[in-house]
Amino acid sequence: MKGRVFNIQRFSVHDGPGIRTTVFFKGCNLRCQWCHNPESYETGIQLEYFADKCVGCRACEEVCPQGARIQDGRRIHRQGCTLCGKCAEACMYGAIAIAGWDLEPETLLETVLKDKKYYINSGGGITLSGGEPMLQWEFLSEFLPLVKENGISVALDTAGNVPYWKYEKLFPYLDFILLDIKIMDDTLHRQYTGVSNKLILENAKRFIEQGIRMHIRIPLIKGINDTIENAGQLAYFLGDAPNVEEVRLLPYHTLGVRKAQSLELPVCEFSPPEAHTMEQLREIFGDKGVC
Amino acid sequence: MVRCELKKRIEKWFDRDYRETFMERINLVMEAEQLYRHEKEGLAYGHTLAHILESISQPLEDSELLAGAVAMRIPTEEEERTIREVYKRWWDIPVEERHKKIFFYYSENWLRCRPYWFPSFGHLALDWEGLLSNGLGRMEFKARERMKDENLTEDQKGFLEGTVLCYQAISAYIERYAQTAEKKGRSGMAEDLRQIAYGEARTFAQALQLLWMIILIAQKVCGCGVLNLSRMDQYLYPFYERDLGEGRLTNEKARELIDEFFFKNNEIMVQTDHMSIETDSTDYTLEVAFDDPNYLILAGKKADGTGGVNPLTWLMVESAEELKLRNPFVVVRYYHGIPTKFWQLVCNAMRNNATIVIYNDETMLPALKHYGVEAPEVFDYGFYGCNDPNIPGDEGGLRQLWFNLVKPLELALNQGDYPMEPREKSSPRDCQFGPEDRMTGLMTGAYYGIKCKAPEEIRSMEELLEVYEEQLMYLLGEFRKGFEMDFEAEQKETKSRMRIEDCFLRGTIDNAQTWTMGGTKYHKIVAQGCGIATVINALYAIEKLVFTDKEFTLRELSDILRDNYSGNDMLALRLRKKLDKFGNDIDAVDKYAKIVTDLYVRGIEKYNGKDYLYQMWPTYSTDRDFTTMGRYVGATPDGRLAGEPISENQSPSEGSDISGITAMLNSVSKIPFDRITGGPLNLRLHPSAVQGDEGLNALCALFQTYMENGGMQLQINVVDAETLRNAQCDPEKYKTLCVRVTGYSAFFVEMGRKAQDELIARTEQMV
Repeated sequence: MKGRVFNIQRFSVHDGPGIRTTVFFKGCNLRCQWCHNPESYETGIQLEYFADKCVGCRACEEVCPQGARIQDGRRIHRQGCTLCGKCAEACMYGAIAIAGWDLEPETLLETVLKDKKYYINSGGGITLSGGEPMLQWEFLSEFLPLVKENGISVALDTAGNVPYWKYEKLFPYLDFILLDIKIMDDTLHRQYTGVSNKLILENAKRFIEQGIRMHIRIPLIKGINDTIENAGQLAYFLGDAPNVEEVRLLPYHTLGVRKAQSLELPVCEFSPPEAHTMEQLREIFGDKGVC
Repeated sequence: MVRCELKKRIEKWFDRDYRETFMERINLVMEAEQLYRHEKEGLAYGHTLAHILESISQPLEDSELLAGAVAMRIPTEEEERTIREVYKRWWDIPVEERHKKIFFYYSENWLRCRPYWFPSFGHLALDWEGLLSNGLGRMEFKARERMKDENLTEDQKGFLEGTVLCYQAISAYIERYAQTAEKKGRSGMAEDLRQIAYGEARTFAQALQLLWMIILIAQKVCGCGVLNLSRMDQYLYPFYERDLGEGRLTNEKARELIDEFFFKNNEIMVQTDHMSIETDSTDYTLEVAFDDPNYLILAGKKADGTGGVNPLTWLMVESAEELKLRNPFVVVRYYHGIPTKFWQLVCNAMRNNATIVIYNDETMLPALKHYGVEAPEVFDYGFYGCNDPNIPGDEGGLRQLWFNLVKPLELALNQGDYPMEPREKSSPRDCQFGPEDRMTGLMTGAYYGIKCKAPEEIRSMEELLEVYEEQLMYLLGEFRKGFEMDFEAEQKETKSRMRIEDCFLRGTIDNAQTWTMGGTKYHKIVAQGCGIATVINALYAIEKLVFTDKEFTLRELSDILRDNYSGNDMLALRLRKKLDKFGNDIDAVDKYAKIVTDLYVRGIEKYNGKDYLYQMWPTYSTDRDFTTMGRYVGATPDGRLAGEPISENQSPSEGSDISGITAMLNSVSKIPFDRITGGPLNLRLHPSAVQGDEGLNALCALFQTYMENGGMQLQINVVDAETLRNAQCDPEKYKTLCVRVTGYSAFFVEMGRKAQDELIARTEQMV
């Protein structure tokens, strides 16, 4: 079966140890308002229009079989779009892109193998990210055995909101999990991500019990989850589990805003925590805290 | 830690005025012209050097650990005018006349301050080891002994006499410095100077002192710059080890001496960026020693096959990291099994923007052997100037060709014609390389090829590559023809015209022959292939458009190019933006890296061999001349418009590597570097990509993997575009910001605006 990805990033040095290739899978079952990859929300392939890059040459209009129009140089008229991709091909300025493409496990393998030596020399490997890669767990269960046959380390970057038995299917192929835990308070979690954190925390507990190597990642948004209280609850929740190797604090950045606009999604702009707050919060996690 | 006194001197040095000039040298040289220009050439040279060294003052500051400096001051306007008139008289002469006085000079800048009977352009390594172990006295004795040979010609005798005068003059100068030191109460320093005035170096301090005296004189007095200091960590190690063992030296003291030595290499350079000829400082300078740095070679394999990393290697890398000056330009030679901790030290220093680059023994040794360099000296290979390979002590100065690899493709598509200036309008010529281009090695203006198949007769990629090869061979043949003509004339005109380096090379005294006459073991022309990525992209574009997709015939495409895409703007844009490019790890494109290299190497080999004294060694290097060279190439099938720059050094075309740095490195490593003898690959990394321990780990692995994959060279700038822009606005604040340009480092604020903008543009699209 095919997997659906929206980006493959080589020389990734922020998604786990060493030099990694991060594969971003399309589709997510959370709707975090601060998401920096909003093109990952939908499972379907999408058309992105970046107004800031559009020079108004109308090359896209000439090739569109559906008669698409650029309106005021600000938005693209999407009605009737069949996602044929002709406009993106015709655009010379990177103003139109198709988010998402499908590929066979073998094809993806070929790509990630290109940097195998870099992984080995750096203690790196591949990271499955997204979106929520676990929504494509069936594809992964075909793809990952191939990766492991080649002796490559695999990290799974998940939001944790998927039934545990699906994770279990993949355990034999995973070297460690990067688990996002965004907010401890369930009401707030629902408010900002659209879902309850119940399953996420349950899964986290079980991962800890399983002894699987874990990095916890918290995107920190000023005034929402950058509180001592939230960090304290999380620290208490994690306890001193030896398999939780680090807790990484990721300050909010605005990279997602442009992408949200390109998809005509509602745009929420937030702020990163103050530097001293970051430092305070990091200290709560002791030696494991990383900024 | 750098000593406080030295830090103060460095701060002061950053604030110096670019007009400061070694006026004593200039005045004495002008006197010497009257006194000695009618003498036989060797004598005139020796007497001139003696005349200068006898009279120049010998500054010595209390905080200096090594003696050897010159007095600098700003000339009056009247003085400046006089000097410029004299320089003009020396060199503002017709090319043909100039040709009789000097054959190779790289650029006008290099020429103007050098007297015609006292020339030296450096770009080499002296036999440093021989110097330290013999000492000046024994070298003089050897030259005298050689003079007793009755079979010598008058020219040979004249040359040897000149070398004897030089040795004597230098010994006397050092002895006088000993007295200067004595008077200042520096009895230890005086003792060292007395020893090395005639004798061999016996301690670590004496070795550095002797090296420094010779560098100072060669570079600042004689103009013999851009030196390869060679493997100091190897040849100084016995001194260091002995001194430590006998309690004469500590690690701290050794480090202080190294710092002092490194700084002194900077101290004598002019405050310019020699590649930015439009800046006031470069335009003004009256000095022979520019900002072009000396190279220092560290680590690497030893002749017995073991690794060369030793405690001195560590000290020197640490010093370079802390000083962060542009000189020396440190080359660390990688080999399989290089100690991990040392590799981390090096990568960390590079990350901190020290002037350190990496070369790969695993490709360099086979490449040099391929072009005839023998063991054991091949293991001592190093570099000077713009990443040019060098066998220390066994070669004279630089002879070079910047070979524009894009040219033959343009000729191949136009039956040997040059669309920007069609042949029928030009006058016939003996050699495609005019005298000026031969002297500087740069291909400028119109070049024509041989009449070959018309585009409509070229029916496959194979046939196109054959035609490309024909044109490439023809141009290399034309270069060889011109070179041999010049070389013949040089031998006739300048038989005993010596240069200071002839006193310090292996073979010159034994053979009683200057290096220009063939006195040394090796003679090389650096044949720098330029625009490799542009050619690769262009060939792939033709394959795709003409032979795979059949969108155009080759005739149609060549007509479009001839018209510089006029009326086809969208096509040019599409080719630029949408066609796959070198640098993205795509085999279908990257395969041309090997194809083009093989053709280039085959061409080089065709015009090498026993018929010629000088052998071409191919490199991939453009320095900053990729813009100049691009000016003379019409539109290319990769969407590049006529006159636009060709690709820089080994980098992908600007902005075309979009798949991450590992993909880029994988593409470049498909070049068969075991046939290529040098040249830089510039990487620009955003500071955030390599911060912290994890970043260092990633960087170490990145570089190591590139080397394991058969990459040849790497140099980096870890700085973001914003910092560079701030430096443009507030130069005073950023005066110490040192960046790697190509084969040298520059202080960013001293670079010309154009060079600054180029660097910023290239920095903006980095990972």
